Amino acid sequence: MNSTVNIGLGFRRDLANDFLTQEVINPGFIEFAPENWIDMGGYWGNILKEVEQKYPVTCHGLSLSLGSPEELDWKFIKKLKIFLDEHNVEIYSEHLSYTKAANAHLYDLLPIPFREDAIHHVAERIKQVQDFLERKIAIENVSYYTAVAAEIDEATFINEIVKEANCNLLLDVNNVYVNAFNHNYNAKEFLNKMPLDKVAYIHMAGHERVAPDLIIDTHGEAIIDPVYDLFDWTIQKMEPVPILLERDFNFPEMKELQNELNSLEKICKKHWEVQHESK
Amino acid sequence: MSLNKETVNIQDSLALFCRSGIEPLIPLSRPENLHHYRRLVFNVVLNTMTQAFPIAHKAFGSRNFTDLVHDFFLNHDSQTPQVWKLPFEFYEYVVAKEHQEKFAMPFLNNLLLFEWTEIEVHTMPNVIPHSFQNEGNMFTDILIVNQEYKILQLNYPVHLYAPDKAKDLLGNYYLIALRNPENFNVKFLNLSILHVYFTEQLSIEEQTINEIINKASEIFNLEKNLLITNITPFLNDMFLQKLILGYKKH
Repeated sequence: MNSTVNIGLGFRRDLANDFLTQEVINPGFIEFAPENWIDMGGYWGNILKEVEQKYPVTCHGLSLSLGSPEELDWKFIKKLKIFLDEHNVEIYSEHLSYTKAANAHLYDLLPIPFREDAIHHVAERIKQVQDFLERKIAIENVSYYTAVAAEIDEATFINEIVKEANCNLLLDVNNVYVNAFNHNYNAKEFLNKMPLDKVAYIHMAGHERVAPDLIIDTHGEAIIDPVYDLFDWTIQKMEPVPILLERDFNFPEMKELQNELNSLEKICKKHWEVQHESK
Repeated sequence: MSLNKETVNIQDSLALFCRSGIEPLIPLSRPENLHHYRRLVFNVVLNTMTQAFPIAHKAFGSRNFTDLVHDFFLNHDSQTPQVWKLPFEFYEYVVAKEHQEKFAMPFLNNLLLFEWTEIEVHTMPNVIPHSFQNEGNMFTDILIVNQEYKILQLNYPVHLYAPDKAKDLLGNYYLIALRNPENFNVKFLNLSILHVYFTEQLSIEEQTINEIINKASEIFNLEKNLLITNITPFLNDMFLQKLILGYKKH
């Protein structure tokens, strides 16, 4: 992924044939969750090999549960390291959330309490994982629908973890928009507090407004204009990084997905290629 | 661990709420949204089980199946970090809880195992076979076997009939779930106990069919000629089905 502007698309099985034929969609790279592919052979294992020959790969984890009160799952992390190496994964990211507690996996992202002790706990776990994987990971700011027993603000929480863990940030611009809407704060003010120099990767996605005062981060709709606007505003403050469009279900015609990739590319070129040329 | 006890309790109680619906006594900025977490988490698990067990889902009916998944999710501590492997934990849970007696579905354990096995064999890591030749002697050369298979023993023929019919056909059914190495499709084939023995023997060590016939003759107390007559069409079929891939000179 050497070019200044690099727009990727989440690899989903429903779209496998479209990724392979490259007739309508042709992203700059793909992203998938290692949990969905580790130990996978046969038909889908073969498809993954084929698609990897066509695109650079990033991985976005689901079950590392960095914010969990449970022990890290070293058996899984060992498998993960082998997988990331074997599949030439360029960027590995995970969520700033937890998916396991009370001795059980939950398979979705629960919000970590924004608290001082959680900062140290999560940062220590990120450091352990980074040391073992021998690579930096990028942690994603997640969307949340209620803050849980918060004692500090979200921006401080994220900043302190990134600083203490010496990790990268996966900035999900849609999540910033969703959280600003759901928790009634100013998205740009929030972004101004983010460590944008630590951003290694950006996620963009659609969402669903399920109530007048609530948005759910579904990845099942197209990106809306205010999120594009926020993205446009944000990337002006940053050096070029890869951008990933997430779409998990309710897939439109491939042409529409490619249009979304083109829109993201256009915005990036407007700011990053001009900036790059003028240097 | 640098987390204090209070934070651990808060995190555990949110997770337990997702499983039980018992509202946690913790400060929330938007408590009216808490139920979305329980809904989102359960949907992942329910969708996974519905996709993994379409026949069982139909046999139970959507409502009863959802109740069963609720029961599983509440009472079972899911251990795999890979949700696509969770159906195996569901199968083990149903067996351990003796739900087939509770629901008067004597075929239930077999059905869930059968449906899981299709996933397991379809997704199992590729096993690179030993090199082989296409020509050889079926009885005196080593036969190279495709290791991408699993043998099942069922008491109800859920692989042949719908549950309503299978439940009246209690017996001993042996079958092999075999992944075709070219198109990766999984096929279930009926086996006799003798075929199971030969298949397992071919897989555990390099030996000729003649050597296996000698052992089988003693174990099953059968004439060698009778064994040859019985096993020859089976071996021919297994070549066609790509369980046997070829020959290695002995």
